[in-house]
Amino acid sequence: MSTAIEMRGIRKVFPGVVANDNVDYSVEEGEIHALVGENGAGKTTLMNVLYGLYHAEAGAIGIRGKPVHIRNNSDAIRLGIGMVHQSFKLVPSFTVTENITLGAEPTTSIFVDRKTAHDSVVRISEQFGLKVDPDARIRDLPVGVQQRVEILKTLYRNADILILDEPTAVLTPQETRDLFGVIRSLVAGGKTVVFITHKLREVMEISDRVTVMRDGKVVGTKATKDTSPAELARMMVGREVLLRVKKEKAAPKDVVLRIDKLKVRDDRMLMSVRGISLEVRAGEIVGVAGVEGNGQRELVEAIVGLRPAVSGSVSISGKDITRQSVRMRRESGLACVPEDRYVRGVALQATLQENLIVNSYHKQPHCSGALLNLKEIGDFSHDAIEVFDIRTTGKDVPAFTLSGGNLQKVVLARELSSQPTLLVVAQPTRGLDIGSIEFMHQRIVDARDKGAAVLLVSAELEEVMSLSDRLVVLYEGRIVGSTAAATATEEGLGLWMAGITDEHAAPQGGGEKEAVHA
Amino acid sequence: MPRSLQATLKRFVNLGLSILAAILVGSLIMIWYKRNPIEVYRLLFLSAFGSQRAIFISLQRATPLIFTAIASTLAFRTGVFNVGVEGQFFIGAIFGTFVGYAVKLPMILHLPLTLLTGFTAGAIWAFFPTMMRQKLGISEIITTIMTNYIATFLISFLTNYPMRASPTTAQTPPVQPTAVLPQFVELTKGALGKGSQAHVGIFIALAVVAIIYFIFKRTKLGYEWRMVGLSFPFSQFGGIDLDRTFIGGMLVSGGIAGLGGAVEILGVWRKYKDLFAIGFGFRGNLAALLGRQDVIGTTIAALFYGSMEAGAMGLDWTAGIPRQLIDILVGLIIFFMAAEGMWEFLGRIRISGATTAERRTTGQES
Amino acid sequence: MDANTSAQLMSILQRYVFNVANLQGMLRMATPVILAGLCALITSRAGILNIAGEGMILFGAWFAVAGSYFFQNAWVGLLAGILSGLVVGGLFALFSLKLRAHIIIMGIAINTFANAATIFMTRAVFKMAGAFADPRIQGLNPIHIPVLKNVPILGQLLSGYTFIVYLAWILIILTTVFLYRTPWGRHLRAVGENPQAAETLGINVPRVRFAAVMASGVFASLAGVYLSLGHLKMYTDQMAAGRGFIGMAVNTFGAGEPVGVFLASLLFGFVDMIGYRLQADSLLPPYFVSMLPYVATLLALTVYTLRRRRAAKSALQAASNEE
Repeated sequence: MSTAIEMRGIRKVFPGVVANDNVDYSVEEGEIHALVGENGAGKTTLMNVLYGLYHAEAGAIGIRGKPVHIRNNSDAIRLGIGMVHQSFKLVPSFTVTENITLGAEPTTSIFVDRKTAHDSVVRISEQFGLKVDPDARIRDLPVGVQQRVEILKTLYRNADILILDEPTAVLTPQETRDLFGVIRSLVAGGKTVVFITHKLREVMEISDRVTVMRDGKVVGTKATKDTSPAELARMMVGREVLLRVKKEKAAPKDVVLRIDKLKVRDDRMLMSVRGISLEVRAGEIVGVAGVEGNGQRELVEAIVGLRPAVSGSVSISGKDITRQSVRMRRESGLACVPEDRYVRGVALQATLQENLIVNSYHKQPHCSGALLNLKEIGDFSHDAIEVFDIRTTGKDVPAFTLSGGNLQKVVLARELSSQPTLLVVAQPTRGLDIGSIEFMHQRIVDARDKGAAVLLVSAELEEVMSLSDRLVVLYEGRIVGSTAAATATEEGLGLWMAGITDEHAAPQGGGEKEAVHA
Repeated sequence: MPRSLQATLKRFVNLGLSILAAILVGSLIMIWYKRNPIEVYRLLFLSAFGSQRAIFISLQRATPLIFTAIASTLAFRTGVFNVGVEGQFFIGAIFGTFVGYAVKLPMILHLPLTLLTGFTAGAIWAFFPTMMRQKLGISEIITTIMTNYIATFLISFLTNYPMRASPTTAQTPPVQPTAVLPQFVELTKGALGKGSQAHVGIFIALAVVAIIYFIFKRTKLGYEWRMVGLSFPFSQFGGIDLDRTFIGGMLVSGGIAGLGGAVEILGVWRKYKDLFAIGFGFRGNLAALLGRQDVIGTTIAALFYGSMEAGAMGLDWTAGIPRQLIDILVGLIIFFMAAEGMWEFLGRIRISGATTAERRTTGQES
Repeated sequence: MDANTSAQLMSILQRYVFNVANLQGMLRMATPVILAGLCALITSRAGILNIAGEGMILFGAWFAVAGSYFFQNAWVGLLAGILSGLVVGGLFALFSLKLRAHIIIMGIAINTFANAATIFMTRAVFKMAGAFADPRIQGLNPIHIPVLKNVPILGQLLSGYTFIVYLAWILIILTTVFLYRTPWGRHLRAVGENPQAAETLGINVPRVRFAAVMASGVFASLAGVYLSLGHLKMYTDQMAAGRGFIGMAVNTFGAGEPVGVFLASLLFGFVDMIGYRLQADSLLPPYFVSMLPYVATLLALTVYTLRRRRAAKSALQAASNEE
C-alpha cells in the first residue's frame, strides 16, 4: 500500500499556545485511520492545516508521494482532500443540490445549469449509496441526512481522502452504525478515511490504525488490533485515568424539583419537550442522558426560566415556579451551570469579579440600598478565587483572559455560593481537560452531599453513568426509560437513546463492562 | 507591563495617530484654500482658547455637547446606538421652552419644572424606538433616525403655527424671567464671560456627568446597565430584568439629551427659534465615539469638540473657511480610530516598542 | 352603502388613487427609495450591516451636480455620481472589512462625514450655502418610449420618465436574476447565510463582501443622482433626507427580495405623493406632509413585525393542534 498522506515536522502556533509541535503523521491509502486525543490535543488543528484552513509555521506535506504546498481550501480540494467538520458548513435555505455544488456550480454562459447539477447529485448519491433528496432544503433535514450531504460535498469534488471530524458527536447509535457502513463501503471503493474522535470504542470498532496526540505532539501510532481502549486512554492522558469518581451512596430526602407533564417549544417553534415528568430529591443526582438535540437544552432553559413552558409545571420545594422570573427562581434556591458557558455562563468582556456577583449584587451583603459594597464584593471575589483555585492574575481582569476550565470554575463558584437547594448542571465538562473534569465531578458530588438536589444533563454517557444515582434517558422530548445507575449498562442506555424502548424493566447486565473515560 | 495598561496605552497611541492623520488631511484642505496650515491651526486654537472670551465661548459651545455625548455614552454602555439624541434634544428644548413661557411660577419652582419637562420630554421621545426594539426587535438605528426627522418637522410646525410669536420669523415667545439660567456675563455684571453667552448650565452638565459616573461605578443600577450592555444572555441568565434595565437606560439617555436641549434654551436663547439647533445630537454621538464609552473620556471629548467648534466659528469669520471643517476633521479622526487594524498593520512595519500587546510565543506551553 | 356614499368614495379614490398624475408622482418618488433599498439589500444578503447608505446618497447627489455643472452634461454628472459611489463604497469596505473597524461606527462616521463634507464643498466649490442651483446644471431628460407613449393611460404611466427611473426597474430585475440564477449570486447568498460554508468550499469571502459593498455604493449613488439631476436639477443640503434609512426599512419589508423592495418602495412613493396632495387640498397641515414618510416607516415596520409574529403564532397553534 502506498502512502496517501505524509505530514512531516508540522508546527502550528497560535498566540499563547503551540497547537502542533513538530508533528509527523502519515496515512496509508485505503485505510481507516483514527486520530484521537483529548480536547485541545491538536488533532483538528492538524487536519485544518492539511485542508488548507491554516498555514503551518513549519513542516512539509506529501500527497500520494508527491510533495505539495497547500495554501488554501481550493488547493486541498484540488488534491482530492475533503473534510467534514464537526459543525456542518451548510447553508440552511439552500437545497441539497445547491449546497453540494456551491462554489463549483456547472454553468451555461453566465447562468447556473440546474439540470446538470441535479443529475450530478443523483448520480453520485446512487454511486456511493448515500440517499438524499436533491431538492430538499437543508433546514428541513435531520442531522444524519445533513451529514450525508456534507460527505457528498466532498465526493462531488472527487475527494479520495476524506477527513471526518468527530462525526458521531451528533448521531444516535443507529445513525452511527449507518455511518460506519458508509465509511466501510467508501474505503472498499478505494477511498482513504481519517476519523477524528475522542470516543475510544468507536476507534476499536472502525479503524485499521490509530494515532494518539497529546498537547500538540504525536504520542504514538498503533495498529488497532494490537491495542486496547485502556492503553489508548493512557496514551491520551499520560497517566492512569480515574475511571469513576469516588462517591458515597446517596441518601435522598424530600423532593425538591418536581416537573409535571412539561411541554416546551424550541426556537423553530417545534415541540421539543413533549410531556416530561421528573422528580429530583435532596441529596441525589439525577442524570439525564441522551444524544444532544432531543430536548435537553429546552428542558434546562424551561427550568431556569429562560424559556416559557407551553403547558405543565415546574416546582421547587413545593412552590410552583412555572411562571416565575429567573431571579425569583434563584431566590427559591435554584442554581445552574449552563451549557453555553461563553454565552450564558460568563460575560467575557466583564471582569472576573463582575461575573461572580451577578446572582448576588442586589442582596446583602453585596449591596446596601442602591449602592454596592465594593469591599464586601472584593472579599467575596478573593475567597472564591482561593477556594476554587482559579488561575488568574487578579479579580479585575476581563474574563476572556481565563481558560475554559477556569471560567467553568468561576461559574461554579458563583452558582454554589448561593447554597442552592437545586443545582442544574448541563454539559459541565465539555471542552475541559482531565484535571478540570475531575474537579467539576468532585464538586458536583460535594454539592449533593451537602444536601442539594442535582439534575445533571450530559451527552457524555460515561459521565452521566458515573455521576448519577438515578438515570433517565431523553429521546425526542420524552423520557423513554429510567433506571438506577448501578444497574445501567451502556448497551441498554444506547438502545433507549436511539428510541428503542422496551416496555419492561431496566436493561439487565452486570458490571463486567466498565465504562471507559475516553 | 500589565495588560490593562498596555491596552490603554495602545488606545492613546491610536487616538494620537488618528488626530495626526486628520490634521494632515485638514492641512491639505487648507492648502486648497491657499492658506498656510500652521497659521490656520494656530488661529483655530486661538479662537478656541486664546482669550478669556474665547474660553467662555468654548464652554458655551461645549455645554450642550456634554449632555448629548453623555446621553450617547450611556446608551452605548447599555448596548444601543442612540442616534436619536438629536431629536430628543430638540423635543426637550421645545417643551422646556413651552413650560418656560406659558407658565407663571416663582423661580424656585419654575426653573426646576422647566428642566424636568425637558428631561421628561426627551425620555418620552426615546420611549417609542426603545419599545420597538425591545418588544419587536426592530433596529433602534432606523427608528431613532425616523424620530429625529419627525421631531424636526413637528417642531417646525409648532414654531410656525401654534407657538408662533412673531409674524416674521418662526419662533416662540421668550421664556419668563423666572425660567432663565443666568449667563456668566449677567451674573458677574460683565466681569466674567464678556462677549460670550456661556451660562451656568455648564454646572448642570458637569453634575450630570458626575451622577452618571457615580452610578456606573458604585450602584446596582450601574452594574445592571453595564452587564446588559456587555451581554444580554448572561444578564438574563443571572436574573437581571432585561426589559426594565434596558428601557430604563434608554429613557434616561433620552432624558439627558432632552435636559440638554432645555438647558441650551434657558441659558443661551431664552426662546425657541426654528432650526437653531441642527447637529447638537450628532456631534454628541461623535464625541461619545471618540470617548469610547468612557464617561470621563467622553466628557473631555465633548469639551474638546465644543472648543474646536468655537474655534472653527472664529475661523469662519476671520479666514472664510467654512466651519464644517471641524466636523470633517472629527469625522476623520473617528474614521482613523475605528480602523484599529490599520495602526496595527502599520505598526508591524516599524519597530514597535512597548505598545505592542501580543507577544509572539515560540514554543512555550500554555 | 347607499349610492351617495359610494359615489363620494369613488370620487375620493379617483382623486387620490386612480389618478394618472398621482401615480406618476408615486413612481417618481419611489425611484430613489428603490435604489436605496437595493443598496441595503445587496449588503444585507451578503451578511453586512450597511448603514452608510445615507452618506453614499449625499455624495452621489453632490458629485452628480458637480459633474453636470462643470461639464455641462448630465451624463457626466451621472458618471461622476457613480464613481463617487464606488469610491465611498470602496473606502467603507476597506475600513470595515479589511481594517476591522466596527461596522456601525464606520457607517455613522461616513454619514456624518458626508453631511459635513457636502455642506463644506458646496460652500467651498460653488460658493453657495444651503442649496445650489444654476442654469448650467444639466438634468436628465425625460425619455419618451415610441409606440408605448401613445397607448392610452398605460402610455402616460410608463413613458416619459427620466433614465434613472427606468434604470431602477431594470436593476430590480437584474438583481433578481443575479441572486438566483448566477453562480456569483449564489456565492453572495451563501456568504450572507453561512460564510464558513462558503469559505471551506474555496469561495473568497472577503472579495464577495467587498464587491457587495461597492455595488451598494453604486446603487446608493444612483439614488443621489436621481435626487439632484433626475427631477429638480439642483443640490440641497441634506438632500437625502433619510432615504438611506428608509431604504433599509424597505429592504426589511421586502424580506431581502428585490421584488419585495420594489413593491414596498411603491408603497412609499404612494404615501409620499398622497401627502403632497392632501397638503395641496389643505387637508393636512403643513410640515405634516414632510413627516409622513418617517411616520409611515415606523408604522409599517411595526405592523410588519407584528404580523410576522402573529403568523408565526398561528403556525404554532396549527402545529400544536396536530400533536
